[in-house]
Amino acid sequence: MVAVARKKILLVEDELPLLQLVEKYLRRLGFDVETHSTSAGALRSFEAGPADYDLVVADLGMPDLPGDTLLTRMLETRADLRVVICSGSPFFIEKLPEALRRQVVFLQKPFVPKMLAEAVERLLTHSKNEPPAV
Amino acid sequence: MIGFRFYGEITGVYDSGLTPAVASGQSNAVSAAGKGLEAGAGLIGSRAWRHSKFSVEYKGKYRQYINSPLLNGSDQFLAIEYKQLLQRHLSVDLKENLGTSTLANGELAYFPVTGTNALALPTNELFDVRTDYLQSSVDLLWDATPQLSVSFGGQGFLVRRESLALADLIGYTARSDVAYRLTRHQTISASYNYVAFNFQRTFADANLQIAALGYAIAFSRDWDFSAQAGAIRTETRGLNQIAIDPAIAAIIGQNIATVSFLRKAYLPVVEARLTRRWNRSQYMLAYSRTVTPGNGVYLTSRQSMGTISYAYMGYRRLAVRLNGEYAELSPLGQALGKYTNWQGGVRMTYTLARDVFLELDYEHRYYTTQDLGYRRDSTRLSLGLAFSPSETPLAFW
Repeated sequence: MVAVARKKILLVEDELPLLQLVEKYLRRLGFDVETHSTSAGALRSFEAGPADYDLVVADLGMPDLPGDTLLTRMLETRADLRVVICSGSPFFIEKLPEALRRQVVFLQKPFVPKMLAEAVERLLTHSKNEPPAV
Repeated sequence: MIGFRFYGEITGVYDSGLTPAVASGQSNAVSAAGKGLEAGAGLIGSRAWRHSKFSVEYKGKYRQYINSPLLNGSDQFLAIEYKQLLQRHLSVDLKENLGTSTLANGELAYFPVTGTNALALPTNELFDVRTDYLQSSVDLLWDATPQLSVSFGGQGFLVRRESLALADLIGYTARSDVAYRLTRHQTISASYNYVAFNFQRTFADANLQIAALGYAIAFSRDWDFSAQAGAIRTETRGLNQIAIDPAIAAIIGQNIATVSFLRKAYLPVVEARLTRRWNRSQYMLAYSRTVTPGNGVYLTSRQSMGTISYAYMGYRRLAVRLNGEYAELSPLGQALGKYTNWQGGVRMTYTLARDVFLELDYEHRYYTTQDLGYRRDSTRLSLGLAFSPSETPLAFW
């Protein structure tokens, strides 16, 4: 029998109750989840082992280091990283370089659990060269 | 010993306020009157062996409206219980309750639900939308001495609502209970419950810890009183949408923000019930103040509920049951106002011939929700014929 490694998600959200709820939901879906309530902590963990993570789910409005700066730094470290950006404010994915658009999905808050599950599944099941369905 | 009773019925029904679920964003649920036919059947019974007992209750009903075909459907309810004596003083009790309904609160609308551990049963529902529910429990009971008994148990429950706008629920309970019989007619008890609600289709959950002391007394053969009082520690998490100050909204281009909440609170829990029986009648008063998983719009909420019911059997061929209920939900964490529900009804059966009855049901329900603007003021009336080769009047089923 071949052991199948669980996909690991790095979850970054400064609102603690939401962080816990999303973590619980993603764990229920079968993912291994590492949580951070600060961008700095998330970045430290990520830079220590960028290959450990299959996906990052990050809030854009982080107080210590804005989510877009965090994600830019992560993508500089690992260019094929897949990312779900969450924010209550609009975010135009078209502003990203075209090469990155295929590996980034934006979720406008408030979103329901199913929307997050679909976004995660979309990013993890499509290859980098194949654009995720919108 | 074996005993099963069944009934079959066909009735005409009129409901002045059928309320399907509406899409979010609409301020008022749209109610419509419906009239149609219902056909139903039921079975109740039990069988006992030397060391075990099995009991079952089933009620099923199919409903077809003439002018509201979208609300056609069936209500089904099944309750099964199996008790097994494992050793001389040790027994196990397994219970299953499951059902589905298209009518808000289903058949249970006619009967006051006073058991506060019936967390999956649909009460205080806002809409006439398909709701499926299941509650399974297992309890181990140990009679340590003739006076002292201890029980441990747990239950799992789920509620699934067809409307995607309403939250579903998966939950479980772990509990223990110690009861001590002071005298032949008096018992004191202490209980602890851990309850978890995990809501589906939305980011929300709750953990409850409930500790309570109880007292029960049978004043005489005809008077029973029981009460429980204690405290609940609640921890609820979820999301709220809040309006943004118009000046800021103009700058950032959005009117509403979503914020998460984590609320911890200590609340009182109270349950009391008084029953009085006469030869041909019985009345029951009950009050409870506890926490419930809500109705899909209201999630974890503090609930205050009072019920009164009166049953009379025996004026020649007539049997009557009257019930009234008041319920109030206050969400723990959600930025919603109170939900208030008043309902009352009467159910009468009149024996036309041997095993053939004329049935009349009347129910009125009025609810309001602060902030949301949902309200319902509806009357449901049904009249029909029933067949039941049983001595128990249908009004008491």
